[in-house]
Amino acid sequence: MKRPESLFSSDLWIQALESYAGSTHLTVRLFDGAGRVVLGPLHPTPLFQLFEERKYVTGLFAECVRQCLAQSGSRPVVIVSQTTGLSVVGTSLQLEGEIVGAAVAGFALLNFSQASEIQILARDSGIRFEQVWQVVREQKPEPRQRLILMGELLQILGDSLLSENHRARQYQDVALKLNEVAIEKDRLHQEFFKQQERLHQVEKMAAAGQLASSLAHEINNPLSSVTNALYLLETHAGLDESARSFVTTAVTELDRVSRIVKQSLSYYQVGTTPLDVDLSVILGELLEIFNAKFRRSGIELKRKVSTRSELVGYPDELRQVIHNLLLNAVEAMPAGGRLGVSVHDSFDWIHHRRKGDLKGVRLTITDSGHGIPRRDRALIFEPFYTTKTEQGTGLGLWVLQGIVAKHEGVISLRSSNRKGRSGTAISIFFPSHIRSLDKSAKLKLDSVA
Amino acid sequence: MRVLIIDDEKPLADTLCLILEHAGYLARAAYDGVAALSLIRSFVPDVVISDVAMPGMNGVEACGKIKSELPNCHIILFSGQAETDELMANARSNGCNWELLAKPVHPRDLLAKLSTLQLFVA
Repeated sequence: MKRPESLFSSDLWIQALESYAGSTHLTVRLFDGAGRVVLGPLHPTPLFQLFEERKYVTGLFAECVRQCLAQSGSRPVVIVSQTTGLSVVGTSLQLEGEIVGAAVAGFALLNFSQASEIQILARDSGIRFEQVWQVVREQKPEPRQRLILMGELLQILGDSLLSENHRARQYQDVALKLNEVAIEKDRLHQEFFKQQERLHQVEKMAAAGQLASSLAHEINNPLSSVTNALYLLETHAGLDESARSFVTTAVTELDRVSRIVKQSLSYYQVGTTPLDVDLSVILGELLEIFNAKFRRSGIELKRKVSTRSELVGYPDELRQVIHNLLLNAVEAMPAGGRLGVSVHDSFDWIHHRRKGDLKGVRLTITDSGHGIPRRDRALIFEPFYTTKTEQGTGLGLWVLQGIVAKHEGVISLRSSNRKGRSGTAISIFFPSHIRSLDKSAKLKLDSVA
Repeated sequence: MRVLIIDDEKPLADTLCLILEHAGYLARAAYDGVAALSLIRSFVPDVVISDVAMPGMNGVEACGKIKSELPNCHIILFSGQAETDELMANARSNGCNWELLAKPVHPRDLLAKLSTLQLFVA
């Protein structure tokens, strides 16, 4: 077959490559067998323009071309060259078994995820950090796999254009269709990795649950023994006044430990038998416990609690929900503030339009604290995520979310960081009955003195 | 009143026994279900306080056997483990109505519970 005189200057080439560049969102540059630029840049992206002005990436393109050309004699190759997170994908073109040029297609970010990497790029390129940061933020990183697929497509396109020009348009259409397939394949890859990440999270949560369950069991027995021993000591006749006061302190603090174990870790002792629960009673009991803490912290309480707010649920876990919310509200107001609590009959106004639909009980707790920063709001229900630097375990709201889900409830959260108007309101709707349960499994709770 | 404690945690069982004795009860401890079944031949309890999750024979099983020999004996179970709820759910579905206390149980709460039971023990 006669080799075309000007391989890369035809309209067909330009048209095909512009179409390719537009659909892949890559800047396309074409080099000949001698490493000279013969076409492009086509579809120059902001990223490309930023670095090209400083000639920073000329070397990167050149290196990619060099690698492609070094494959002479071998079958066509696809190369991804990169430096400090910037990537170029290149491919060699062949005509009648001979490499006639190297097409370099891509210019993209690869795995830029941290400001420290952007800083290195800014330093190396001599461009201001803010300028690089702005452009990098706007351009989505490309997975390496996708760049390789794009390189393969460019190869198909280029080879088809080189071999038989009169059928080039047909091959161009095929190449573009293949491009769509490659993008879809890439999307499925991304989805797969996301699902894997989700599975990993679920496994993490399950492990945390199992860990907490084991921990609770391991702690409960020695805790019981120590409680008993201190009880015996406290009533020992041979104890003098000052020793007795030490024992009393130990007993009080151990009571605290017991409550923490019951309230924090007992969630993982998952109850299988739901009971009739009056949420207003549980709230009332907890407000009594927190009363001293409110006074010490200068927190003004406003309560609006219906006399009976009944539902079917797991009382210990509901107690834990309210306890966690009250604790978070108190900790959000270290210098005092206003705390509002309310429990009343309601309906699920998020998912149902009419008042008659899905009745239940709504618990609302509001505080005038510092509010939750916007960047944290999506993450606060994740396990092990905490904004409390010293004492946070990061499990409180994750546990709460699990308990609410178990009751088929709905959480809604509003928060503001605005000065003078900061605070958080969390509202949880619990349906009267957990629809997935068999009502005949209900038992009355026997109270223990 | 005669109280039998069954718990594989020896310090827990022994300290509880001491507390009950100081409070005027006759108390004995067994550290597993098999030992408890042997002990009730010589020490006939009015009340059995048993841990649920124990190696070998669990508390529900042990108390079931005790109850079949001593129908008037009152049973109280305690535990701190998640598996307990499963065991208890099964037991309750078979008509068992024993109380279950969550560990750690404070001695004063247990003594208060026993004092209410004392009214009903022959």
